[in-house]
Amino acid sequence: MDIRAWAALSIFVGVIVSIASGKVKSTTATLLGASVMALSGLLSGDQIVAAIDHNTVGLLVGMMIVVGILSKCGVFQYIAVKAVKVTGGRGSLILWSISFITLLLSAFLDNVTTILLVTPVILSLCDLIGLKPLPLLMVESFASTIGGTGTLIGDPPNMIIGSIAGLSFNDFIRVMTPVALVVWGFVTLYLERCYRAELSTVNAEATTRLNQVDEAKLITDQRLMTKALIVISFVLVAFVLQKQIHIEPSISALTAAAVLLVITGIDDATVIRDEVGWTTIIYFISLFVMGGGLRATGVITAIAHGIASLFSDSPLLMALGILWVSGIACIFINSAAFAAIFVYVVAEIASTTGMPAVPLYWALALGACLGGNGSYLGAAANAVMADLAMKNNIGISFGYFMKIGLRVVLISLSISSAAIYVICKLS
Amino acid sequence: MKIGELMDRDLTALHEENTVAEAIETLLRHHMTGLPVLDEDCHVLGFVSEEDIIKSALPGYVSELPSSAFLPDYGQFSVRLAAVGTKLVKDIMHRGCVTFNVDETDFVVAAEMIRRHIKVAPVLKDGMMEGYISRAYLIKRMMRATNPESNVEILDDQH
Repeated sequence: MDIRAWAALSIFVGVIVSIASGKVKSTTATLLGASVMALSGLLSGDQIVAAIDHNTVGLLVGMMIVVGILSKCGVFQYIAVKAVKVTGGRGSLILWSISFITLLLSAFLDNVTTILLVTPVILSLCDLIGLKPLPLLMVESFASTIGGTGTLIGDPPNMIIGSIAGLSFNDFIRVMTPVALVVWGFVTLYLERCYRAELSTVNAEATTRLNQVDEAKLITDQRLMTKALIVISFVLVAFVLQKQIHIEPSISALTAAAVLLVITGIDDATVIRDEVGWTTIIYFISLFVMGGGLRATGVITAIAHGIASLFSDSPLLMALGILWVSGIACIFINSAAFAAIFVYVVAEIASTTGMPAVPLYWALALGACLGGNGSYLGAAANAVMADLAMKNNIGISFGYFMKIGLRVVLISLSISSAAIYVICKLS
Repeated sequence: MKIGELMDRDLTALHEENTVAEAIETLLRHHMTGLPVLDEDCHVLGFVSEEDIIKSALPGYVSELPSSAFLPDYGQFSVRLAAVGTKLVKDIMHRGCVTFNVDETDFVVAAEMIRRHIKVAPVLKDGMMEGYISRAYLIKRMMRATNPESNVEILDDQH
């Protein structure tokens, strides 16, 4: 690697370290890193534009608007409350129910949004029936990440990998969803065992209170809900038929956002200001630019060649290596940041070795998404859950979460390894 | 006009070691929506308002839900409020409250009250509390100052 490559790598490592240290917020750090790379002339203006994955950015913006509008009517909280109510207060059943609903919601919503919607429901209902919320908060956190792993739109690493690798919504359903479901089952089983003592069945009075919960009052706008659900259904159909209708997911999502704004009459400035996470968007754009800088200076190629030389004879070992390296790295590094860079390393490895690229992309997706469950650093949703818990006087320390999280990651990556074996054999 | 000329010179205040129950009693007795918390030298340490008291009696998740109407009533608020009553004022007050200096103009004070959504604030001179200015009092005194012959009935002070 020449001096330009080392400069680009240093800038990137500096950004990661400053974020991990907590001294600089992630968007500020990545924006600064991208700016320094651009100012240093490490990549040209054309390369900057080419580096930004417009499909991912458009998909993020579109889905943020659609989900943001739908969230206003309370339908997600309604679903979460219903999921608890049907259990009749039986502790283990509540755990499984919350886990399943979170898995389902986070497959289609952003993980952080899922946590923001479900956590208050958990806390309020636990308060109502005298149940300890810790097991439910932990299972919710892990289930949101696992659910997001299962679809193209569930987690930003999947959006990035899907876009760069040309993998469709259906591809993710076909490959990632079954793996996510199996991982979910084993992880929830483990957590049920872990928290057996805390998951007692509530007394009769608490059950009566639970039955008195009127979840219909959570629906604040029936008409808005109907319109939003219709639009989101069309979006999902468009995702499924992506290859047939030749419309990128970002176009479907942005069109849905525009249609929703028109038919609901909601003030677009308010929605675009409040529902689009512009901090997240700038973070991703900056990441893409830094990735472009690492590619333009040859860092990606050098890393890819180094890895390729280790497992050049075995696509299976290569895929497993990518799975476990990604998984372990994403315990400490934000998974979207890792995926945004490593997806190009994977592409280069496939190009250099002649190995089929798709199994390697699946390995990266599984590792990056599931590794995030290892700590508060890997997945923003985990930190958001902890923050909401703390606001309700429930402290879940970094060390405690990591103690459980590492075991969850071990279970997840072990099951994923079996899945990768099958994928490699079939490809 | 300077706010020192318009303020209410009432020095009712709280101490850090007062209980929240004592604070509520004082608020109700003096028809106040909020009271400053002072040290022995009349320096303002913080502020306790009705909003702070109610917030401390509500669980944290309430602000994250679109509505709490789905939860049945089982007296949870009154139980929490009674529990909060035993806490000390210093546990719920917010520090760094808005204060005004006696020399500030009514225009600046009025604009700040609206901009920062405050109903009542202490007025200081040389760092020590000299009185209060509230929205109601500001309007009332301004009306008297500009129209001394007004025959509008002036009700008891309410902040």
